[in-house]
Amino acid sequence: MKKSFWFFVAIIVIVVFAAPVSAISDSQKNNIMENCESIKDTLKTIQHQDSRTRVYLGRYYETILSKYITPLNVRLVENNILNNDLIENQDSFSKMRNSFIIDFIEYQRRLDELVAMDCKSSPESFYNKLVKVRERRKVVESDTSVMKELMKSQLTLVKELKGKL
Amino acid sequence: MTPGGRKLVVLGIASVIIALLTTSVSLALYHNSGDIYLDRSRPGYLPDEEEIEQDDDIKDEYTFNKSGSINGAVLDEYVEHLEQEIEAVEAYKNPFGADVLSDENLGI
Repeated sequence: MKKSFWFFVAIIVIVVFAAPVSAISDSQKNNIMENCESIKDTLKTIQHQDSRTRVYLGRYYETILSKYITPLNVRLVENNILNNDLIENQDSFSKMRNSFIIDFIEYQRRLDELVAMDCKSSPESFYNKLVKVRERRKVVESDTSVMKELMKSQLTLVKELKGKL
Repeated sequence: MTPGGRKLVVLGIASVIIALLTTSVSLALYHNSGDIYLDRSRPGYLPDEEEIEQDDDIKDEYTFNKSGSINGAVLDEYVEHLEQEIEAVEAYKNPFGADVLSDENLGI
């Protein structure tokens, strides 16, 4: 009797936890199907705006690295001034810039796939893909925050260096 | 068909096949490298007039010299220019923010 009770409980648990959990509500599903075209138009606009932001930010990052951070370190070496913090900052900035480039491409690829999906016939897959795109966008956003911090720390380090001279 | 004519046809077909192959390889490289996402000469990605005017306004060609002495005045100039660059980056408020892809914004 006891055995059959626990067997029954185990079956219930398996059914509850093994069943695919739909992250999408009926109203979301209906909205996706009804507004499919406008959602895609919005996504394309976002894609264009992101491309513009990427180009501009990329240009600024490149300028800061090649016209400010690297030349300063070269000049410091020439003047026999050793500043490990500035060298480390250059290294971090360069690595982070590369991550930003790679993460943006990955994000855009996923966004491309999302735009190409048929949201009318498979709203659930569309929404799941959207969730993945959001995750990738968050990574790119985080990259830009780190870049901003590294730029500011460059400024702080140079001001500190001036104080030591 | 004369032997010369046949050779001409073969040459034409071979040229078309080579052109198709090289174009496919170029397109694959263009796509796989991610350059496609930075190419603003694509239809729909062209900069608008306002943006072109903004580009014309960018005149700062400052580059910190790799050689020379290091003193307070040199670093002050460096800081002044770097602050301008950082200000320009910060003008992009919350780039790639999450709100843009929210359910509300997309109408979901």
